[in-house]
Amino acid sequence: MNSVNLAAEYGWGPNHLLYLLIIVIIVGAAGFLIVMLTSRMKKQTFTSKKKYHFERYWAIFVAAVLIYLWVSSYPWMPPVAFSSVTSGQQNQQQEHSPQQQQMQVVNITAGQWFWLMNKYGSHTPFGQSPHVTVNVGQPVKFIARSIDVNHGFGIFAGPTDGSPILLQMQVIPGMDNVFYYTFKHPGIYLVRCLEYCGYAHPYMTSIIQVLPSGAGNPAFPSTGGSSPVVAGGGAGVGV
Amino acid sequence: MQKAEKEQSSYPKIPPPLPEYDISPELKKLVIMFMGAMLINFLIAGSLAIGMRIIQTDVPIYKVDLIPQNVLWYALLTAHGQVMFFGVISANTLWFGYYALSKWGRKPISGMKWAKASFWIMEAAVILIFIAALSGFGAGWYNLMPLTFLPGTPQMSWGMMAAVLFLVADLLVGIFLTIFCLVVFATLLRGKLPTGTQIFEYMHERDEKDRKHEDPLVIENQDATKVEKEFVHEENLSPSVRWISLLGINSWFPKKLRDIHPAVPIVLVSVFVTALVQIVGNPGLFFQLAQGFLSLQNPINSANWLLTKNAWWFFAHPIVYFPLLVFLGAIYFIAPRYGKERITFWKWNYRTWPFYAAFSVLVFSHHVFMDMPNPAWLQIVSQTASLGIVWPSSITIITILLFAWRSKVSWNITSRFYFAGLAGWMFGGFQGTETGMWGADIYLHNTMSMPGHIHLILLLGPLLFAFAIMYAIIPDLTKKKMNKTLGEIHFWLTLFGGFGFALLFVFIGGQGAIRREASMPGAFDWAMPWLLFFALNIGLAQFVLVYNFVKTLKRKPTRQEISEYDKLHENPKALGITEGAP
Repeated sequence: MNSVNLAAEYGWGPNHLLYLLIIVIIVGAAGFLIVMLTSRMKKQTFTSKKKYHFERYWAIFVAAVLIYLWVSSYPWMPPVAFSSVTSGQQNQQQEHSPQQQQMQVVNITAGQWFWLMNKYGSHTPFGQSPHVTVNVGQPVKFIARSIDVNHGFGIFAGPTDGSPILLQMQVIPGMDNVFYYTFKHPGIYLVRCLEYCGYAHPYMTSIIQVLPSGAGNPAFPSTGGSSPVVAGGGAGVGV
Repeated sequence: MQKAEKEQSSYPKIPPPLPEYDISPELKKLVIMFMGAMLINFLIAGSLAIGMRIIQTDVPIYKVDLIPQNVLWYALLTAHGQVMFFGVISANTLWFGYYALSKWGRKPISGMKWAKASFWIMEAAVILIFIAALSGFGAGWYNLMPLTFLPGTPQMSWGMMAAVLFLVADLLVGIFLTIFCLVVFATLLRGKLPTGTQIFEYMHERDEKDRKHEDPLVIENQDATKVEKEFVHEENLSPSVRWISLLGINSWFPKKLRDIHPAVPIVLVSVFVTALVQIVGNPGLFFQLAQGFLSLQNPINSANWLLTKNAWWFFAHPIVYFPLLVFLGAIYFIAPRYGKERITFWKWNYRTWPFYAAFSVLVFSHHVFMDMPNPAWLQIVSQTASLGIVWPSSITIITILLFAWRSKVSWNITSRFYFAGLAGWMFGGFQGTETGMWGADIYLHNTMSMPGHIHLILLLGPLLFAFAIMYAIIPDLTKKKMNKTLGEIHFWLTLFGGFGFALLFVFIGGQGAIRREASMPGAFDWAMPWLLFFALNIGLAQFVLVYNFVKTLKRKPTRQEISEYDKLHENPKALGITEGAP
């Protein structure tokens, strides 16, 4: 089964982006400092600076870098990343193909200030569970709908705050908002609302449990047990 | 008078190298009014931000009895963002835009009454925003509908009247922005404009052997033993030539055509492009507001909220270039001057402007990268434009740095502020390059990286540029110079607080801190006191600026200041400026 790979799978995850930014800022700041210090050196005329055509070569260099970034980022663009699992869906004759049968579909309802998640084919009645369980290594199709305002469906790479973001999408009222993803590791993943939706927005959280391959599909333990669920936000506020 | 002369430490060391045209007293008064109102708005909106910092330093996430504090936090957020955008940094564009139109255009602005009206409408909008915030309105500065009408538990947050007040305030914002754009067009698209050609980049040649240039036109007009001359005459350009010149397109012509085709002063190009970009974007705001007014009774089902959001950002990305572009034009002018160069029509100053004009509008959709129902082609165009606008920005930065390279720059308050502003804008641009890629934005959208980006790009970019220009032109407006010691304190505190604040935002955003969270998760508690500390530094710095500004306005000019002012305006040849075509 094909897997959905985002930028992180290509080595451009949030930590990489942050470290790259820090390096570039340091280099840029050093460049500024050097230029400032040259103001103490013997003056160089405008004409003698101009003869190196520095701006021309700089323009060519920057254009090349930007083209490289655009081309590199093409596989991470969501429609391209999703195409590894969605291409089979376009052919109606393959509606019940093995690929379709392995696609996990999670319906999400967002409102002020709660998440309700339901996996297609699970035993949980639709719209009644704040949590959901999926299997590792199999693509998941998230379909999110809002019953009131804009929300932001965000999954973090761990069970607690302080983990980087794994994926996100906006949940716009009146529309089906779809995102595909393949979880690579089992565990508990924190879900937060990422779009300000009212005063209790910070408490709009939930979790997704990802089971190891071959673990079946048990119902999520309703008592919480020892799972590191984020307290106080799982079922939402003000429902 | 004698006491003032003793107390006044001179700034700048040399007179600001501005064109000799003296703008009208009426326009000077309007510019001063804008500056004063901007500073007041800045202090108030900044205080709101410090309130936000104070709340976030203390609030743990799980205490539900602090929900009223959340309502307050979001109201502060909304008012802070809107007033900073429309009452501070946009106000800077208005005062400098009007000033530059007349100063570099060498004529009165067309529509002085409308320019004055734009000031009062701007302040009315700011007041309404504050009133809405006092009524609890907290839908965010970007007013993401339908939250405007569905705050959840209205009795605890805000009611319909507060929402309507806010919509009216934004309507006034759209009106004053439109008035500014129309005044710019009326001034620049009619009548004469000062022009020169880019052959005069050769006029400043002086090599070590003092060799004279071979071009006969240069030889005829060059006086190698005296100060450089600025060859400027005024022409009533035909419409096609006027547009090509005002967009900087002629700088891309082949050298022979470039030597013939007239170029207008770079500052006028920047003002024109600013107005053009904004007038194209303004309908987006009016569309969003119309959707809002029509949805008052039935906010859930009455509009296409994706289209409304796209319309808002079609307006709101140009608005972030609105405060920036005019000051880039000013820096292109002022940077070589402070480096003891007089490069009037250097082609690389102009080459970036057609790209700024085009890409500033096309990038808008990168604000809605995470809206999956948007068509993929729109997002791909936006990513292309988002990376594309890095290109002219990088050329601007390198051109300014090359002016400074081994140029014996006078490091006064103006040059330091614009250099710091250039660095802040550059750092924000690096980050913008990352978020401008659709796939990378998945990890950065709606994190604290975004406020970090905004504060780098706007607080530490255009705002610092505006401060640089303020210090440079106050003597031209008032015949008085700002106090140098207070200016130094303002500079260093702003630099320290501003960069500390913004870079810390960027760092915690990269760690997964989410924006617009009244209750910041506990994992980031360590950063909150530091953010408060840096914010207090910025705030203190602006009080110093306001004190300096008011003190300067209230005192009488010294004899030396009056003499310098008169010398600049009555004897243009003192700066080697001549009129008449070569």
